Amino acid sequence: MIKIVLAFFGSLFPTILYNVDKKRFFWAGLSGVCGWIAYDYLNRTTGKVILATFVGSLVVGLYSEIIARIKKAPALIFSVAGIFPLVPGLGAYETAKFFMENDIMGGITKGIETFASAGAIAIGIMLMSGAFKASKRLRLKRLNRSNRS
Amino acid sequence: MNIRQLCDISLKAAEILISYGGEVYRVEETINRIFMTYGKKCDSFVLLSGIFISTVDENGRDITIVRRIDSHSFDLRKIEKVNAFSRSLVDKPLSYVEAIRKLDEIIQPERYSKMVMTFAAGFTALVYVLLYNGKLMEALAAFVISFIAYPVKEFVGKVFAFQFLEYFSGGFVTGFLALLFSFFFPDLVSYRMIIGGIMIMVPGIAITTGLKDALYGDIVSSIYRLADGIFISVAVGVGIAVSVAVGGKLL
Repeated sequence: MIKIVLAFFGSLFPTILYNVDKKRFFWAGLSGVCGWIAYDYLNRTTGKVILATFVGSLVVGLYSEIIARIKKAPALIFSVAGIFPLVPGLGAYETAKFFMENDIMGGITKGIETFASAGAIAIGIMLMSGAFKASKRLRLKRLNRSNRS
Repeated sequence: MNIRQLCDISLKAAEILISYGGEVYRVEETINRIFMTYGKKCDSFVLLSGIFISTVDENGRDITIVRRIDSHSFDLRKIEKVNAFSRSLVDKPLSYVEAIRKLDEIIQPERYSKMVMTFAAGFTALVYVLLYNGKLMEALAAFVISFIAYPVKEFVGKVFAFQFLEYFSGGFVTGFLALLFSFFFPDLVSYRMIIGGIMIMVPGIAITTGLKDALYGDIVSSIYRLADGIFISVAVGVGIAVSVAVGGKLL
């Protein structure tokens, strides 16, 4: 429970650095909460970090596209905030550390793992905005057809 | 409103969007939407380094306007405002003077004060140490670390105008201070403080906008942005690695 509060503030504070408007703070924080809940649940039940990250970012993508339409603001604001709790900071740090200690194999293993996590975030966000883009296009097509007939 | 003025407005809006981190498809869409609002058509082509608009004027001659974009930074508030502006145009078209005045208003810098941003950086580090199962003392130490590292990073970025050095110095200061803390207080684990500290340097926007650009087929801009994100991460990583290596020898 305490972690959910932490995830909220963990998504909120970085948005200040990106100069997001005050009235978006709450929704930006909530984006991180949604992603974190999905990530944390899957990570604890299955132990598959990359899968958990992927689903977490799917949730963030879905949330930010929906809120963007309700609040009439760019989805970017919410998805940037939401991915912060999912970022593989530990992995990135360990990769650098392995390379510094001349443990190349360890560095490569950790590096690929980190890269996969980052890629999972990327694909999750992309899939969701792709789905929304497709649905918008379908709606437009239907609209055009009904206008013609 | 004549074509020249229409070009002026859409160029100005596009310039704000692209130089403060808007996605390429959003910029092109905004230009086309502004033209459509006034019942005109145009072709627009946007790269991160320039905006191209081509249209036909009242006398049937072609007009092409190119605007070079030099500086890039991130300011999501401006993106949101221009977005709201182009939406409002569709509902209620403004006159040229009004539209330009509105865009000039948006261009005015409106930022949180340095103090607020520094505190935000500190609290970011604090929150993430706790989120990664750190102790409260480590979180407080990370707060202090980021509270120092963020202004240093901003200062270096401003003085040298050199992105790699900016993030390198951020990583270096973070790593070094974390080692100092764990040297003087042996029960604090340095890596947890470092992980908390680097969260303020995560290239979040570069990656998300880069991906959106890729999704809409603007591959050139997308590769530029993703590479930007990767360079930033590498710079931070190198900064931390160097500080840990140097600090490990000294302490």
